Amino acid sequence: MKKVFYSFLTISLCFIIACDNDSEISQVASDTTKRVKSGKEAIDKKTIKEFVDRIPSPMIISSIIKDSGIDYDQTLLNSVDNESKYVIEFKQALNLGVFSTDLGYANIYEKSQDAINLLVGVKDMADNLKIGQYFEFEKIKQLSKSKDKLDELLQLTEENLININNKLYEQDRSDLTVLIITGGWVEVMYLATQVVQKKPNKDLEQMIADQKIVLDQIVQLLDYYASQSKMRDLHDELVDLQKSFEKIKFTQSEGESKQVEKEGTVVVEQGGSEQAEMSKETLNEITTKVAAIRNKIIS
Amino acid sequence: MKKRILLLMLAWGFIYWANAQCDVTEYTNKCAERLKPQGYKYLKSYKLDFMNGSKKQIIYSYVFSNNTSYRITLANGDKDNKGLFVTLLDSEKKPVVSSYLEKEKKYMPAIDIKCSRTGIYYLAYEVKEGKDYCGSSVIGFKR
Repeated sequence: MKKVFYSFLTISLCFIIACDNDSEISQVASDTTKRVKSGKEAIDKKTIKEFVDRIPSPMIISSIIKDSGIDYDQTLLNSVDNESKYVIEFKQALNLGVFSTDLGYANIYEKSQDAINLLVGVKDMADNLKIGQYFEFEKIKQLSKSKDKLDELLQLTEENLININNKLYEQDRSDLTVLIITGGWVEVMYLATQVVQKKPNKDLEQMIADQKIVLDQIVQLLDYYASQSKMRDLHDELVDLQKSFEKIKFTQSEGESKQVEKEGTVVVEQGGSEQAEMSKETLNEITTKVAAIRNKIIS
Repeated sequence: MKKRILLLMLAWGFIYWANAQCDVTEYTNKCAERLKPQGYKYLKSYKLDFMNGSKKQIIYSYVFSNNTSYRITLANGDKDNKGLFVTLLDSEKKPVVSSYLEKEKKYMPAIDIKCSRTGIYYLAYEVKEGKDYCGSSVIGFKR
């Protein structure tokens, strides 16, 4: 009887530990914070999900592009006709990120036909990677056709991509998640740099400069997989891009935050400010390097 | 011994039941709805499963950008999200703002922050009182 009891106890404990996966996040976040304080973070397998989760959506930059009054430019997007070139998982994952960013860009501008075409690219890449079942293709397609469902469309698309990343993490395929994120980020940087070259915009330039921190995170993620030759090559290209970002000068000033309560919301205006000083040469250098990395990804 | 096994089975069943119950779809949609009136766009959602109280805090991190406004919304089973709150910390782990107003003892359903510095921010979610250990949080943004 004792054997039965202890077997049951073991199973129960295993179950509790398995279900308590998220509790690690708290610990991991706390550990990571310690490393933040001590300088450059070292990444291990446990912290990959946390790093991945913190990378901001490319949608923010796409949204700034639109809000800046810059016209939609279809020629900047990757063509779904290129799909047949992506026969290995490395390329499929990178271009899943590329197509997802392009889809977000088309959605923001409410270009439903382009969005539907890009959706096919996203779906095909996801299917090739055997994660297509987590993408609600038909539902997203229907929402893309409706002019007044933009909020729902953005929500569902983002949720689907988060879901895919979570599934890959569960399947121990986080290297693909890192590639999806990298592809998505490179693509939105490509859109932003191309747009800003055609029509200079201070807000967008500041946002490009601010991407230094995101690039640092992505480089650390790729660094973890640097034993894989293709990942290492991509890592090295982004390290080279980092060198251009190092030329940007950031100045910060301190200031008091203001907090008020307004209509059931705590409203805070964070004190202080931050300004990025980026020369035209540096912007050109970043534009050229991003375009080269992006063209290699989509070719 | 039979009693102990029965007790353990009951505990196991309860944990399973509690975990299975944390379906946050409704809360996430409620949070997302709260973004719309002020024109915030949906960015990310977080499932908050405090494992029936065994988990005291859930921390996520996110890169916030300078000169961008973010809304962080919260929802649980209580209509006023009583008990559930979030503290936003900057990259040095200094608290920036909390949705729990200590003086008034109020749990606010949302935080709006206009960010002045790009960096990694931490979102620390906690349940202070009550027994609602399941909730959701959504981040929205606007420029």
